[in-house]
Amino acid sequence: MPARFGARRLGGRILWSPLLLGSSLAAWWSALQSSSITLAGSNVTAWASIVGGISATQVTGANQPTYAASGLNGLPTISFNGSSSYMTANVAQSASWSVQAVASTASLASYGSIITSDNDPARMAQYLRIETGGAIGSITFNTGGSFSLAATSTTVLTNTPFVCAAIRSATVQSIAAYLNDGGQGSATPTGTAQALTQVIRLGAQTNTPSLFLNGKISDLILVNRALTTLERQKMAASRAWAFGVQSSLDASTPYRSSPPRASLAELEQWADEHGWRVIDLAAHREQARRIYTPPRLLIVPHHGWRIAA
Amino acid sequence: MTRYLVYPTQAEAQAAVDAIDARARVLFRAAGYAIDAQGAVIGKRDGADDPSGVTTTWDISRQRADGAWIVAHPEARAANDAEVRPGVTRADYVMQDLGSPVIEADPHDGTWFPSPAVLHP
Repeated sequence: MPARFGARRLGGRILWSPLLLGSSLAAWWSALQSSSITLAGSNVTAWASIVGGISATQVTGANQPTYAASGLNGLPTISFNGSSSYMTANVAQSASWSVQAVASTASLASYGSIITSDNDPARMAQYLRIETGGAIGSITFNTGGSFSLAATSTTVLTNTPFVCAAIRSATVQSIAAYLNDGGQGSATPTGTAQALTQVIRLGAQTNTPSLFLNGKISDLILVNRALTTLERQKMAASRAWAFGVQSSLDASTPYRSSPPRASLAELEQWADEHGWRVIDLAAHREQARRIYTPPRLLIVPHHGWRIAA
Repeated sequence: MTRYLVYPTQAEAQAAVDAIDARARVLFRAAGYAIDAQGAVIGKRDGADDPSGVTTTWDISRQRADGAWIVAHPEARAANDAEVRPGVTRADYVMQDLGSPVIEADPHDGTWFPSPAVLHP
């Protein structure tokens, strides 16, 4: 996806996007971008991340998930069958991380892995999973092998889309899970966070594939640091609005009535990482005078810009 | 419940997979998919061939606790319910060279495979 924001009208600041996380955004899979999905019939053989040049793949036909153009809230999704389907991706991982998914499940009778990884094939750390009964759980290990589980106080409903997330900070020693940006469940890990070095799996646990997801994943984001509260709220709301499930967001979120928008600071940071700079035209009236219906903000390359006469 | 083809040896299970793959390639080729030199089906992304998204085989046989080898039944994919000609589904077609294999459903009670050490409090 081209990372393009462009100029906006006064008062129409752009919608917040995970792309604004810049280099912190390790991977972002979105079924809304059909060009990221490789198919053999309806089977998904590869699902390309929007950033990072990463693809989740599955070369074995019986283990491939399937694509449904209107499978989640009338929008595209990847469907996992709960018994064999999963995908694998090689993603550089960090001790602190944040992860979020837009998903649904057809069953609460058993664990459903959404995204997993670990340092050791014999262990089964889960970035995000659906616990038996429907809570959202996230597990982290320390280097001594002890684990901490954070599980939400709220639960998902079967066949009902939701936004789930987990945030692990290795610096302040915390792990928290969220469902629809609420129902926070937390734990306080001890020791040193274990680095995650195994491949990432979508739809199954990392160890001998099991704990399969019987459900759908439409959007999956992995960030290589712990998000702030505001970033977490914006990320949850951004994807909730994208998939039309904003009414499911927790009452505490500030973005139930309107989607989150980018702040000037976020735009400036993003622009700086990409070799661009933000010019506030209110302070550059000569340039603004030459633009019909001048915008308040423009993002322009460092090497200059042109305005059509 | 998910059903599997059951074979006494890995060699027999692999022969079944090979037979399924051979016929599946015929179906994929007829549907416009390219097959690479290794026999993998090249997926399509936005209508164009994408060599990064290939299907190399139908399944990888696994040995269950009693020593038998299992292969996923082609019916496991809903798309294989589609008919390639009247009365013959894709699953029927790719299984035509298998004779009459033993077919069993995984009871998912740990008898086929030991339960993983699931982490939970």
